[in-house]
Amino acid sequence: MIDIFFIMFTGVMAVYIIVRAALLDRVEPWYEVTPEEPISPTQPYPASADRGPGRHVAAGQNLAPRDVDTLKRPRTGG
Amino acid sequence: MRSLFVTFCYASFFIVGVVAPFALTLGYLWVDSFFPQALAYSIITDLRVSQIIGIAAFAGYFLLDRRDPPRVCLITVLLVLLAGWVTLSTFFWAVVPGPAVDRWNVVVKTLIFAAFIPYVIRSRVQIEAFLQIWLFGFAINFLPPGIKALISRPTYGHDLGIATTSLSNDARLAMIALMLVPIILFLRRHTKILPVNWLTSAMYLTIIVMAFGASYGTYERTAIIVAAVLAALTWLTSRRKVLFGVALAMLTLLGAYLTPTDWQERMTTITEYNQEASAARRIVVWEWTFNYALEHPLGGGFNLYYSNQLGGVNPDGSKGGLAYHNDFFEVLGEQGWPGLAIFLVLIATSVFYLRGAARRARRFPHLAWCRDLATALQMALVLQLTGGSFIAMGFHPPLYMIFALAISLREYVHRVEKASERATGAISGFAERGIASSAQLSG
Repeated sequence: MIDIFFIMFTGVMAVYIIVRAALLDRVEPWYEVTPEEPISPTQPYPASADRGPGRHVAAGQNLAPRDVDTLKRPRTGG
Repeated sequence: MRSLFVTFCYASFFIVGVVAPFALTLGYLWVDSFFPQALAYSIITDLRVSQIIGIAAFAGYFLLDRRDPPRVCLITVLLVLLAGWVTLSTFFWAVVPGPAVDRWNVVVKTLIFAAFIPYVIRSRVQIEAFLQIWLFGFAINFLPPGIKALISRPTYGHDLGIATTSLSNDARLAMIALMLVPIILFLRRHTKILPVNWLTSAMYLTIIVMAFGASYGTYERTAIIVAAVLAALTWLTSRRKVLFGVALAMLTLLGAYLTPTDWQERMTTITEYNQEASAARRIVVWEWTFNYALEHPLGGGFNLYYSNQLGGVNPDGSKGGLAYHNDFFEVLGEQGWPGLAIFLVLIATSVFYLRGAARRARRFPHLAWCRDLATALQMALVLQLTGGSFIAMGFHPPLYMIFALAISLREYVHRVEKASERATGAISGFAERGIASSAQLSG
């Protein structure tokens, strides 16, 4: 009985983890990017960086379109 | 019903793998630690489950998911080199060719897969998913014996686990269960996949208790040595050393009070290593292996110990072999000095990579999880090698999973560094252009 319970528990956890990881992998940034130096409030901001000074910047935000492209777009099939 | 459930779990990796190919690599890891073919009674028992999902993992990567490959690094080169070397030793100078080929078949897959993992496991979610699947895959080996040992009275040699799994109630089980403890503590603190709440925290702590329970239930002396090293390492890395030290002392006293006399008597034989038969036999086999390597510097191939005639008497009257009971002597005897050199450099490079990743991650406050993971993996490596000083697991997957994760973590930090530099450069560029245009307007 204990064995069955643990087979069920570990199996369900494994399935839950892969499903959740697959979902997160599609929505979460692959790399948690922040600029090394925090943005100073006195500096002018680009149009895309209007989230306030000193905020952490997730991948894909505050980057030039070329950088966003490199980070996010999957290259499939080699 | 049990077969149907296990088959469903196995199939889930393929279904999810269609949209997220890294799930197939996780599937291989799960099969390698959960042994679904051994737990089921039918349906997948006759399938080559490991081979099928292994091929699917490679195909998934090459056809669907080749973004951001890691740089070619020393660990990858060493893993491939070791795979080549064990192939040569197996097919050209193995002393016991048949058993050597059987073992090679398993080991070479472990080495190649370890070299492959960093290509697939790249992002934070993927690294965490790898750790979670590793934990919950292997947990089936130590959760049932853990709870049984805690609620009943175990005895030495009495198997409390699920009989069909490949790891019986021995020192290997104890060592891997305890090795996972630092990783469980890391997941408890930094999980993104599971919800962070008291229930998740309680689940992880319960798993840790079961890991200790299973180790206790084995009656193995290796387990108590690994547990002592684990306690020392956790104390060293803890922030509240006095409080943790007091808690540890109390737990030790409680353990001494609750454990049965025969368990304590067995543990005290550690100090009598020069009089104890098991310890004496280990020293004899280490001596034999060292002398063999002096005479045969290239080693004798896998399962060389079959030929040492230091073990018990076989049914046919001949003397059997005595296993090495040590990672380093295992590698030395079987793969010679070149194999041992590769093995040692692999360990040293992994530590170097993990320390480097932790150091570089210090520049980024949001990469605290990388520093903690680097520490957890170093602890796991030390625990592996501590246990590996008394049992031979030099070619078992857990060690190579740590090597693979060392690359994944190092590459993750490197990619964040590169992307952050680009982000900083882009912002500086915008700022400079903004200042220039402001100056023009005011001028």
